[in-house]
Amino acid sequence: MKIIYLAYREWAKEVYNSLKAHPKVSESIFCETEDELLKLNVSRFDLLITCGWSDELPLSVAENIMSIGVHCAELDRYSYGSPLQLQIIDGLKRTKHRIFSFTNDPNSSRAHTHNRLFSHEVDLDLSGGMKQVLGQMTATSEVLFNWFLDDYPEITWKEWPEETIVRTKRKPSDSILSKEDVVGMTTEQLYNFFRCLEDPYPNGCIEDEYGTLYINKVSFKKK
Amino acid sequence: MRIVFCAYRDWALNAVNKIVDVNNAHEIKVIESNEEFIKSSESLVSNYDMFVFIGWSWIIPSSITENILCLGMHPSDLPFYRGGSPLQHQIINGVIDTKISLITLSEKLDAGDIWMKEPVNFVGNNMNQILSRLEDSTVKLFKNFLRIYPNISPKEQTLSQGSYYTRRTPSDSKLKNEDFREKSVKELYDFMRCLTDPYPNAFIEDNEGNRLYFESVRFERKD
Repeated sequence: MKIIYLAYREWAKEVYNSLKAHPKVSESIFCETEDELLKLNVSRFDLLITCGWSDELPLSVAENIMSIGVHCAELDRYSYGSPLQLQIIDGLKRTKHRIFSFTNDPNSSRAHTHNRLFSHEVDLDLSGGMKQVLGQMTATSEVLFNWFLDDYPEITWKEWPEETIVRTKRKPSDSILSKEDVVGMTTEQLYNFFRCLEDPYPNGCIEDEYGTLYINKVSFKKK
Repeated sequence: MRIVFCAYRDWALNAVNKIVDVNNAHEIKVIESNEEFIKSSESLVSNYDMFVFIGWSWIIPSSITENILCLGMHPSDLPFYRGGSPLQHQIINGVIDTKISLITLSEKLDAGDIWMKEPVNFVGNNMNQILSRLEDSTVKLFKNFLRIYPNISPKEQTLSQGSYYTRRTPSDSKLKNEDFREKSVKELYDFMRCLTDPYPNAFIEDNEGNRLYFESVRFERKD
């Protein structure tokens, strides 16, 4: 089968080598931008695999090739932007990593997951700093996509129930705490806040009238 | 000249290796642990001209200091910041540009005569950067000292004009809620950066004894 792999984040780009080596894959092409994708005749391929892709797929692409993505949440929960950060800040320790059917529906107000269909899922541990979490994302993405390719074309799609809660994508200004915020949060809440904003994300910081103290790395020990 | 250098910390050993590299004319022995010092120091006294201690943590017995010239590098502009944890006390107090001092080791801690000083600054987000600056200044200090010794005389310290600080303990790395209320973020930054590895990291602790450690920080001043 012929696949297109679409990814721009570092952790996601690392998955490609594993997929192009899959026994069923006869031809593969790697795209890092939408422009690169739009230059392709996608109907010549069997499958578009996106990984960590933030934007909607162009309609001309989504209508002409089966497309999948991975999302690191037990959908429909945390189905919009910043799912890792929002889950960690909410205190979740484990979640799911799922393959979803990536479609484009101009009439839908949802992001990415317009038809609420998923095929494969594995557990994802949200422990540690972002380097550790993103390392797991690379590993679980490899597992999920290889599993999908193993099963292809006999894919069973399941629908997940819809939730109405919309958690908006975080902005860099959401990474700022005041000194009063720090005093009002527990050590574990602070740990979750700062660790989920480690590089490559806008680091958590404490701000006053004189400057900004960025907290690049933290650790947490329970008594 | 025959010199015994005593150093065990990484930055101090790096400095000694650089000093040895540029001083081939001297006969130099390096002692890298207190055990080795205890075992071999007495026998070396009669065969060497001086002992030099860099970043050394143990008290030198009078059986050594009374029988051979013992010099030590103290990372402050003596007589200021005599005593323990001089780097941390200076950085917490906002010292940036200062000097390191080469002194004769005497019975009273850091109170011996001063041979020479060398500028150093404490700019840097972490102690590895600051210890690297300390290493560079230490190398320059000894390069200058060995170039002019013995045509140099030490000067007595005016202890009444200086300051003395006790050695910090790991529990001194704790930040309390009032610290966040009373200190500026620049002061919090100085506190956290001077306690990055290899020192006991700054931390906050809740009522249950859970601790959040600050491992890596940076600061941006507001214009």
